[in-house]
Amino acid sequence: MNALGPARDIPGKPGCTPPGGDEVVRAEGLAKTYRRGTGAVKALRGVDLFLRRGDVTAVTGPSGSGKSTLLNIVGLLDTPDEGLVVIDGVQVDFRDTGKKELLRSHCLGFVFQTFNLMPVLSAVENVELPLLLRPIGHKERRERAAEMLVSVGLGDRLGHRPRELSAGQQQRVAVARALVAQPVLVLADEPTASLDSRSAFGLLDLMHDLNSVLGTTFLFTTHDPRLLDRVSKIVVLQDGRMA
Amino acid sequence: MMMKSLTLAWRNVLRNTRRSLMACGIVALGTVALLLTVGFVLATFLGLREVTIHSDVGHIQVAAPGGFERATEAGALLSAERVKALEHAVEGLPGVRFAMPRLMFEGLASTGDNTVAMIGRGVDPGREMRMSTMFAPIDAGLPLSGPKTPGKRPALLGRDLAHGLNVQPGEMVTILASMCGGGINAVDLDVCGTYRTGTPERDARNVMMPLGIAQELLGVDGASRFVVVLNDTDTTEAAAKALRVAFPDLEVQAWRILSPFYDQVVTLYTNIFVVMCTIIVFVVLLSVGNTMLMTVLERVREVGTMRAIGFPAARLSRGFALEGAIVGMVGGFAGLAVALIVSLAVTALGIEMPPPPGRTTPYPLIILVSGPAYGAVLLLMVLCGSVGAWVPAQHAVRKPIVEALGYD
Repeated sequence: MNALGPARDIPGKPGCTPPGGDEVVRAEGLAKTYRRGTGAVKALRGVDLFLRRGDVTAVTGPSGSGKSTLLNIVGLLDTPDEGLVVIDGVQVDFRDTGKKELLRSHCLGFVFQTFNLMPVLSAVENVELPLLLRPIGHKERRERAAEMLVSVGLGDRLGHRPRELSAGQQQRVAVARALVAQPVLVLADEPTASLDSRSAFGLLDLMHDLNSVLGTTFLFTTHDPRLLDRVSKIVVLQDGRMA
Repeated sequence: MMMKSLTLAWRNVLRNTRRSLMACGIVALGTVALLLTVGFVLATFLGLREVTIHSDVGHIQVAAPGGFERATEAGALLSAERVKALEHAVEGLPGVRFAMPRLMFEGLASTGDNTVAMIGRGVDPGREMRMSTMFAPIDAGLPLSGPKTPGKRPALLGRDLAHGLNVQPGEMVTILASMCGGGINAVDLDVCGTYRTGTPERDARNVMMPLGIAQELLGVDGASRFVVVLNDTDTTEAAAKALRVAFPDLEVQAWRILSPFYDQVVTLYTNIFVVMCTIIVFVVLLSVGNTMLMTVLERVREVGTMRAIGFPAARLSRGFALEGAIVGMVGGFAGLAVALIVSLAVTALGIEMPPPPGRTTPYPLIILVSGPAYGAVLLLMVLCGSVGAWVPAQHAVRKPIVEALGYD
């Protein structure tokens, strides 16, 4: 991963530059209850989470323990019933959709279990997507996306459509897309679940390399105990509480 | 940025070629239906307008005050001097083809055995024929402007009037009318020919004769109307305005006022067209909407991903609307091409249509090719495609992101 250069400033990224402190995420007292019919499922029951810059944190626990809910709330994709979330020094107002969109596009990156690449776009175009929300010209956008793909080892696959790539390669494209706008936090929900062991470890190595070069903070959920040896921090959830 | 959105929209349209082609096909069909209808309606309006103007009323008519209501009263006639002044004035007006006086009256036409009520019209035969030959074709015999025979007083009868009187060209007819100064006068005329306007009421009552004969019959030297014929119908209002300024004491009326039937037909056809247009637009909207709904449902997870990345819902909605607009544009252009070919082919074939209500003559089927109509219909189809895509897109873009990401 020596193709990775130093982090470059991305225009139009106010409020997401390192504030000087180490805190990237602070979540306190997160609670979330899903109502299904007449019943209610308490997914989170007062969870606290604190992530420092450069942490690679795994959230683990049995199915239904609230891992994905926690990730969705920290990723501003879902709204907690209680609690507060501070991202990079900015307290999130969950009622303000515009602000949440801005925070997601400027401070957060996402890697999904099923990659969620746009099938009509090439690898480099997929990686360019987050940069479309920034005031960056086409040429520079393309250069940055290409650089990022080189960084994840797909320099020779720039023009390939997702269907022309293996699962592991597609997940690398997804990682490149998550990182191209230099977010302070990358969230990944079961990023290795759709990969074989070799690709899964490769992906984790890649995340580590990117973490060491770019200082990006990673927060991911996983069921795979083998992956837990390689992270700097583990959060275990059980029945919506931190175990 | 716009280029990127266009590229993305275009690729998404091509994603399911068969489905997109079907949507484009329906848009094309709607476009063809609309353009053929609008072409037919416009040709009908144009034809009716020119028939109205050239077979009877001319572009503008000038009369003495009250002359449009009381055509044959002495006080409502234009004097010979006024007619001359008008002739002189219109010579100086741009776009005037020619002008002519006309004396109208009511009376009886008789052969001795048969007597029928008639409407007489004293005209300048040469100019009248110049205006109306195309649209009031001679049915039998010769026009009024034909070769003159010394001692003969020619008259042109409406075809049905001639049948009613049982006279043929070459036979005599007696015209009786009230003189302007009081009393009854009669004149024997030679039927030079019969003509057919296509309007049964007029064919059954009209008699045309040279202006001098009509003046002699009524005992006047003026005319009841001064008819102005222009080169271009679109200049009617300007010419009428100029005449009103030049002759403020006279009444000047344009053909549209003189022939309210035209506006009635326009209103009727326009209403029919609007209803038809609404139905077609509704069908296109439903079709594009249905196609786009399938597309949207397949892409809910993608929408969720884009929203997670930070794309605002409105921007994603615009993306779908752009896809619909592309479908509308491609289908619209295809429809335009087909409509153009069909319009030209149908017009060239010269298909004869049965006489419309109130007329007795058939008319050729013409489908007008109108640039503005083509542009407007294309725009409408683009709009239909856009709206047809935007509405179902709301199903995906308004869905909570977590739900959209987990959508199957």
